[in-house]
Amino acid sequence: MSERILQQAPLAHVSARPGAAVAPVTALRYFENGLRGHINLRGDPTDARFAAAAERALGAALPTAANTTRIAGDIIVYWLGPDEWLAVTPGEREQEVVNALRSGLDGVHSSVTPVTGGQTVLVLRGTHARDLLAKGCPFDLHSPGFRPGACAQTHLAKAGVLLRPLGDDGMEIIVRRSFADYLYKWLETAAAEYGWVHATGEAPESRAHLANAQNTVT
Amino acid sequence: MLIIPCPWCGPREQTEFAYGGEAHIVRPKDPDALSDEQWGDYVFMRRNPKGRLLEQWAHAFGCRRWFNVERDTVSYAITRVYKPGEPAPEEAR
Repeated sequence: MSERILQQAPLAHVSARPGAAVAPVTALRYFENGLRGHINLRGDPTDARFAAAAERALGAALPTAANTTRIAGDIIVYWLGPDEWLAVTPGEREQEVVNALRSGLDGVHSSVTPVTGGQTVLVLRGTHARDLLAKGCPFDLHSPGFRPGACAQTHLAKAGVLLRPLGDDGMEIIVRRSFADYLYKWLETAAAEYGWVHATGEAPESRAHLANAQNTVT
Repeated sequence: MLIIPCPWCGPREQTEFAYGGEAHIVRPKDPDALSDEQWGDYVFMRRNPKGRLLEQWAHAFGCRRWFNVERDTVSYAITRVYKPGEPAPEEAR
């Protein structure tokens, strides 16, 4: 019999706080999409066997254009480098996707590394999302190409982050677990002039079946 | 502050990058055959030109790739970037 293991999202202690009852309309809303599966994939995209096996396992071809993403059902694949990608899956599908990648890539020069425990996904919603990030980020958040379908790795308040724009008023931030609490406090402080609401649970566009901020697995 | 055009990610601010010193320094194939002076040259001695320099940068906070930059050490103007493994531009050597 396997033991029950308590999984806790890096910012579960924040999500557990009561949300604000009244907030200005300009307020930024914050969510943590905790407990996703994060899988780092490396290999040569010009190797037909690698590309085909990755496409079969993930459900879509790897994005090979720099700083782009591809969405395949409930999996998001981010370009991290010319031979490196990040796949973010619903928590309960992580092992299945890892297994599919590993069996498909057997004998192909590549690496499949689950990094789930090492990072988390934050979502900001509000008209000032980009203004807030611009306070601590050297990347041009208003560059024309930085729209849904793009992603960018940069630093935010000195923490390395992976950004994905969600329309004009939203931003997804993937950050290392060890930086999550620091970054949350920086965001909350920097958002004071706009108002700040931390919401409990998942961002609204998230699928209902995805894991909540705290749950158990067997 | 420099704006450095990463060959993959495009122009980004210098704070995203790490510096790697002069480019195209080849490690000797047989270090044991070198005199101390020759090894010292390989390890420590650099051209330090006033003007065009070929140097290495890593996009540490971005795609984490190393690449080469041709930069003027007087004006700091970056005139060329190229990927690792590509030959050095002749006129700058």
